[in-house]
Amino acid sequence: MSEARRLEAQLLGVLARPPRWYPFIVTLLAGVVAWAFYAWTVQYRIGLGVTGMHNRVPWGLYIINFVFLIGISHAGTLVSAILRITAAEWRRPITRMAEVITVVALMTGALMVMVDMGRPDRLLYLLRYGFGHLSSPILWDVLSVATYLTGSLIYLYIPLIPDLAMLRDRLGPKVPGWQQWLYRTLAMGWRGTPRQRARLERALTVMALLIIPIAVSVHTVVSFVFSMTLRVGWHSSIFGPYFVVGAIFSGIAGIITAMAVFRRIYRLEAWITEEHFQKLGWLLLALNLIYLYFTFSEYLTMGYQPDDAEAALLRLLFIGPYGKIFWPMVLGGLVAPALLVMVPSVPALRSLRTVPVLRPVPIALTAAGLLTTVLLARGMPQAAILPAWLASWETLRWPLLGLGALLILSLVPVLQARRVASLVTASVLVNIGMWLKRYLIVVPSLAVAQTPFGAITYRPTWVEYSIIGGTFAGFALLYLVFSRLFPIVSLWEVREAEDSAIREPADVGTRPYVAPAGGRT
Amino acid sequence: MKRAPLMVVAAGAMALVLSLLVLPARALERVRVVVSERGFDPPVVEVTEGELVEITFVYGDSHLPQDNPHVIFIEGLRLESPQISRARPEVAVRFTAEQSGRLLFKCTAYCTGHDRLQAGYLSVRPASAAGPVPAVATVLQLLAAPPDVPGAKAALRAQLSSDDGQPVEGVLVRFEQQAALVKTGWAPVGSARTDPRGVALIEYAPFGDALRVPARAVFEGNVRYQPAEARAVLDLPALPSWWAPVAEVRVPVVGTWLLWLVVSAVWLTFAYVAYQVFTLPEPRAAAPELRRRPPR
Repeated sequence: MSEARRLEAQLLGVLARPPRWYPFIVTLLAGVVAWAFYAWTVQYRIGLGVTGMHNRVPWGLYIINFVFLIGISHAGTLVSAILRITAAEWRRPITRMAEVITVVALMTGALMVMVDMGRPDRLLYLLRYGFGHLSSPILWDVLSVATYLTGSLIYLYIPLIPDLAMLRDRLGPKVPGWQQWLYRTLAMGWRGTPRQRARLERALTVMALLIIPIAVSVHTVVSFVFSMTLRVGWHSSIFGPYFVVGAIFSGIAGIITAMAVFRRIYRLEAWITEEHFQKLGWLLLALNLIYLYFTFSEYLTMGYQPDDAEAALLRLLFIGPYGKIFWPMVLGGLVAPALLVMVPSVPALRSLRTVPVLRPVPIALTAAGLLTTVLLARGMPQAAILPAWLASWETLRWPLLGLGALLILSLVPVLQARRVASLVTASVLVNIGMWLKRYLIVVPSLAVAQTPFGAITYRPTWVEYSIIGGTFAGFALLYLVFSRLFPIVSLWEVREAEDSAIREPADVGTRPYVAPAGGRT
Repeated sequence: MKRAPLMVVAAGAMALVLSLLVLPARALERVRVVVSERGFDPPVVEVTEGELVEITFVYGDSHLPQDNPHVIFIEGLRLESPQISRARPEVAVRFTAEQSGRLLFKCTAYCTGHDRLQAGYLSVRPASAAGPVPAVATVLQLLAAPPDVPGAKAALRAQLSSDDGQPVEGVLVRFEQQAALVKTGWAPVGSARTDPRGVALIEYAPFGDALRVPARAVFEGNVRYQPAEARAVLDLPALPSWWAPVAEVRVPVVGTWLLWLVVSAVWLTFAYVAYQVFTLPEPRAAAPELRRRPPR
């Protein structure tokens, strides 16, 4: 049996009979979503006063999450479209996963704006008054997000059609009647005739070309919502490209994470290989370096402003209360992922494996032992175990730093041996870092007093945390439900690649799924 | 002839006495409140309903090593004082206590002692306790000044006076514009308190599609003055030609048209793609490839 046929059999098996864990996870996620819905009803009934937002910091977790999810949405369609246009063959097993991320992220992201409005009926005002006055970036945002969502749905659906026809023909009575009806209806009578293939190819090419500028416009416009105000830290011409790069960066990290999850839970190791991770890893690294450059450029420019507010913002970020978020974002979300992608690929570092001292477990234990001793000694009223000078941070600072450096070096061979794990770790760190970055864009700028008021604080409440938790659970739930109803890998594209490899080069062409004679339409 | 000035003075004096007897007395109640990190002193201010009140907020934090500015907001009156600080140790706000009851005033600046500055009270005694006073009829005039260019702000100026022509100071006038959302009605566009000349003024950007926008000013009345209303029409300038910039809007009209054009082009392309998809189904006879295949 060919690889493509084995993949088909495996994924069709998942669709016909879900894994045992599936109902438990779905129930858990649905429970979190239900709790978030309850929190939203509390907010709807009482008002936005139940959140931590107020007239000085009117944007909080909801808008942060909106920007984050819109960023994640760039993963899919943009990466898939670029790889499709450039005919990158290795894209085939991962495009569908990427496209689904886009649609799900856009749906949940758009919901955030409505939650932030407090009263969803206010959308009516937007429709009634907004579209006559297209000078507002908020309206550009509404238009571009709606257009992107529609385009992404179409772009997800078109390459799904041959697979839907396959599900229609192969699954048949193995699935409930409504599912058969769903496949039959959505398959659009696909039988893989030359005329149908030509139409599919045409539609796919048009959408792939169109979706790229739309995707770029979406995050540019999201950045305009910030940069066209006179708020400190926002009013910057760099924001458009900065947001777009950040979006693609977090989007690629999102794809890598999703790939790792589905590879594991659906046993797709044979098709989603280390090569896929490594190639996306290089893309991630490229975007990471560009984003670091933008970040450096942003803060350096800000630091040269004579404005008091700019200086106040930098103080808040670097040494003020937001430093606790800023430095983990820079070191953990930008620098560490770059190292995690780069370091295991340096051949010269392979020799570290032979250095006898570099063993991570003994080093970690030594460092932990030292730390425990210091903490115990400092916790006691008198230096009963160690003399005070020996138990001080000043004495042990350098040994601890040295051990930390040794630990990092000793981890390099481990990372080299587990490339996928290190790339997935980098991706998770990037996603956490980029969420924190969005927090740092939204909140500290609003917290800088530009009117004669003192320090302004924003503390999210349980309602906001619940709704944000529900959004992520809803994201995972939608993704999981999609993977239960439709193949998470584009089966016809994988088979097409296999066919192309077998046939003569002159015969190479698009050959999506061809229905067997007598198949239902 | 020498008596003429005397007669004028006597007539004036008589008119003054008569007016004092006939017109309701309207004294200005002056109160001073010291604002410091320790709280308000006095914490409760008592005034009479319908009276013109002037509260002077005095900065009381000179003993602190650093400046400790405050801004006092009186809830229910929608009245916020200017900031008091070392540089400006006294500010006064004037208003008419239009309804009896208890109103909260508090500091809205984040300052030292902020928590202790959240419970000042304005206690408004009912006018009947101070003796019954007949409400005076009022006259409200509204002057609507439309903007010169589309998108700019219009000015609404209302002047409130008693029926004998005396200006009414310190009362709230609400301004509204006729607008249509689900149904046509009056939409509030702002409010202002009358100054010593009885004038309340707001500036706002008229909204909606109409070029003739009815506007009105409403004084709801209080124990001393009867309610009044005045209407005017804002004649807005016609929409600009397609290339002209709109005031206070950065993108010219042509920009929005271009935007619509781009968005329409994108959606038309979607429609084209959808057409490709919806025409995928085809009769079996048109599938030669399938006919060539041997039946299983």
